[in-house]
Amino acid sequence: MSKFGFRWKFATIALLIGVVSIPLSLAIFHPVLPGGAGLPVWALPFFLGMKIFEGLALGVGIGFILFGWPLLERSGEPRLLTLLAYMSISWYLVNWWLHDNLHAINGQNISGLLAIEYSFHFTMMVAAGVLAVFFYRVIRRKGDEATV
Amino acid sequence: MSRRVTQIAAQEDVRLKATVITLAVAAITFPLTFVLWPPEIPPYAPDAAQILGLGLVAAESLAMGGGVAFLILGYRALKRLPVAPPLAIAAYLGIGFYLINWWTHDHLHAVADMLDFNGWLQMTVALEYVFHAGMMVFGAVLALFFAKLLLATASTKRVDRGDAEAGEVAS
Repeated sequence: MSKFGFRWKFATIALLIGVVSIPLSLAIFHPVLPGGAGLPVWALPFFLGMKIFEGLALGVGIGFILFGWPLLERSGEPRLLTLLAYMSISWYLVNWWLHDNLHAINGQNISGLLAIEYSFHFTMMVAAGVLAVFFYRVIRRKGDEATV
Repeated sequence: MSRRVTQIAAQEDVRLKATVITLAVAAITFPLTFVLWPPEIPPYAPDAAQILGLGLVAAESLAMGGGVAFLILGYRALKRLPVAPPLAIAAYLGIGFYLINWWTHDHLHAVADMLDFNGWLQMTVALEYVFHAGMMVFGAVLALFFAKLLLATASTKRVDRGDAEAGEVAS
């Protein structure tokens, strides 16, 4: 696939999923605010702005899931570490759409909060550790190759 | 042979340093959490929830330690990279942010919960844009960085292989 063709496909998938997921999140998830309050007018643009970020991150994440593996496979690192790094980057992109919306509908429920913290926050901490190891090993290898 | 031995020794040295820095920072951060921040899990919550809350503080502290270790030790490796593009620095900062942000981020949400509705909403919006949107942008930066770096490696290898084949044909 040519570089241009690849970029075009990636951008189309990212934008298509972004455009579909934004209204979908507004339709499915209704935020529970403290005291049953409504969202004030000043907050609406910020709220919609976050929806755009989440939708585009989901789109880019799905694009990366579809096209990213053959690229990471070229790293020369052990297959398990490469697979975990691929999953970590994908997770850091796709999780926000569901994650932020679950926070919004959870309100102050402690069991729900703990479930979100362990499913999303904890797994993202682990994913960050994986990415740190992968990044360090890849750039060290490149540095070694450059000095040989 | 001696080069390989030196590389293994350097790798073990880095692992040891990373472990020491991670544990030292976590040992400071963990108790500091209870001094600086309000509880993430309210005191009236059941014991099981409190234990799970402590587990999260431990994970946040270890992530903070890992982040400090990565930022210190990763910088040296970054400087040896043949190309030092802004994208590599952004990817390095992104992973550092992924690791160190949770300790502050999670507890600032707990601070927001203590404010009145307007204060809570303003602070929540700020946290969403600084931390959540920040992490989404860094996710795209990392995907782009690895794609560019590994695509460049593949094309360099193809060029090298082409040169070698051309050399064989010429000889």
